[in-house]
Amino acid sequence: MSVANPNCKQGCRWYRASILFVAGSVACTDALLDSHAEAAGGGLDAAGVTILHQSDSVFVSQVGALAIDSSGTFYVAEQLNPSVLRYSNSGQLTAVLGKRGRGPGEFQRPGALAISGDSMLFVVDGGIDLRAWGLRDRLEHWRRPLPHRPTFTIVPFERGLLIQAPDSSRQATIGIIRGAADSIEYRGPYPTPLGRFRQVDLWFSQNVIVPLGGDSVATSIMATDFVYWGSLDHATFDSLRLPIRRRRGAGEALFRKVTGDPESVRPLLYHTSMPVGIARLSSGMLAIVHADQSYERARGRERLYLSLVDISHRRSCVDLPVSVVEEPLPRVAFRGDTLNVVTQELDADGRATVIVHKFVANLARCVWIADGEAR
Amino acid sequence: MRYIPWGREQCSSPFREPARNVFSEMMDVRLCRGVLAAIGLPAVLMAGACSLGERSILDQRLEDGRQIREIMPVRGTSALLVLDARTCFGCDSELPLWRSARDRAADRVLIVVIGPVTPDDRRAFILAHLPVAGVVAQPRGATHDLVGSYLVSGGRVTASARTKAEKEQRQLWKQIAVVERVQRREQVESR
Repeated sequence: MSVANPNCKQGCRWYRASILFVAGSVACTDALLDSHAEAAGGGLDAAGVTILHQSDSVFVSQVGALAIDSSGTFYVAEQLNPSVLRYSNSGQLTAVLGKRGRGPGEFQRPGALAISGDSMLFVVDGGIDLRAWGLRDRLEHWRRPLPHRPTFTIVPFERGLLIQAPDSSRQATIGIIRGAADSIEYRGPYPTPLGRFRQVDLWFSQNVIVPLGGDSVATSIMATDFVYWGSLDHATFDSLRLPIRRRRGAGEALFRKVTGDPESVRPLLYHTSMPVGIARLSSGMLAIVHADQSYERARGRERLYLSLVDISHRRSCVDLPVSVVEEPLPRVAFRGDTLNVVTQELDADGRATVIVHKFVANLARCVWIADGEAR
Repeated sequence: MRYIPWGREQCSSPFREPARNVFSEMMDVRLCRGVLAAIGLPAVLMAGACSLGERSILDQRLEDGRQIREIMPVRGTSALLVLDARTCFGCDSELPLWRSARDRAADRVLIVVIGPVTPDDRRAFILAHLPVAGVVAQPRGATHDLVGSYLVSGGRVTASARTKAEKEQRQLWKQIAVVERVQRREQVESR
């Protein structure tokens, strides 16, 4: 991708030089951090793989999302042949939900997935439509448009569904949906950068959310390095900053550029970091997966890093690299304490294979950093 | 709107591939025919220029030295999708539509990529289960003029559609379906 800005004349040289400098610095920092993490023992233990069976007629060609129910059944959103594929925990294909189209029971481009009570599957189609499917009858029960486009996050909640909903007028980042026809209630923390800089809420509002019981949730938002947790009803949130050195974007300098001239910083926006998964582990800690994006020839790559947040001791263990191939984009889902990452790879015979890699955090290997302490 | 190129939601990004040449977008065969009818003789030259891309697409030479027409099925009607490897996995890609087309008639749908194609590109096509029939390493003409969908019958391009024009693509596929039905009926009757 060209980084040249056609509107830029005198400043072009500095502009390109600054981008090259940023890219070089990021690459250098990545290498240092990876070596640091490996020296520290990695912090993640491989916990096996499941190969998802591919047939000539039904296969995964472009993964949109991964979800796992309580029995370990995998649900994969397939985007090139729009559908949701269900695989047993041993990797056998057991059902195909939906097909290409715009009508009931059809998808355009299934993205985010969420499973509620092992009976309902929620699918965000094209980032703009929410579909509710029954897992027993395999039928679409209802659908509704989403007000915030696109929406990447959907999470079952005891009072409905939580979605990514940056809403600058209400100063909230989380929406609560109860059903097909109900209006959205806006809740959640609203990080400072979202309010200070124009358009930043549009570009950096991706979040991940995990219910903590009752009306409590924890969330991580792309626009900031902070992790928030607290009560949705009372709008009281505590926070802790993750000292992630590696992280790209989410900085004041970039926000200023986005606010002033979004067109000029497109190449940088492609190379930002974002939270893509969050879970509460049995130990009570939060586990958050960040993806570092890069983009080349219309295809993205991502490197995944896991961070652990010990809320009770206000400390964090960050930048544990997740060892999977970078391309195509790995999708993540937690089941219990296990991080599952689905990847597409070529086998020894050069055939496409789809693999779910499993990892568990090894807390003993973590290098803990207290809140506020420099790394 | 946050757009993630190969992200959790690939096709909801504010980022777009660089816009193609507007003039080349207008260079549609149907438009050319319209101009020809309206203006008359002077437009014949323009129509010739317009159809040049279509005529020449089958003459484009692949990496292995063959021309595209040599890899097209000799009999019946086939569809040819010409992609630009630099952009075809982008957000508003036409690949989902062609994925379903291949599922319906794999032996009649060929994908040709305008090069140069990197090893990563080849890998991406394999992972997407989109077999590439050939690579045009050194295209004659501008890439954006060649990229598109073509209906080929009897060694000639009989219809074409720009890749982003979904409506035109669907019409193209309807034509293919009709032709295939006729061919199948003829086969049955001949038996």
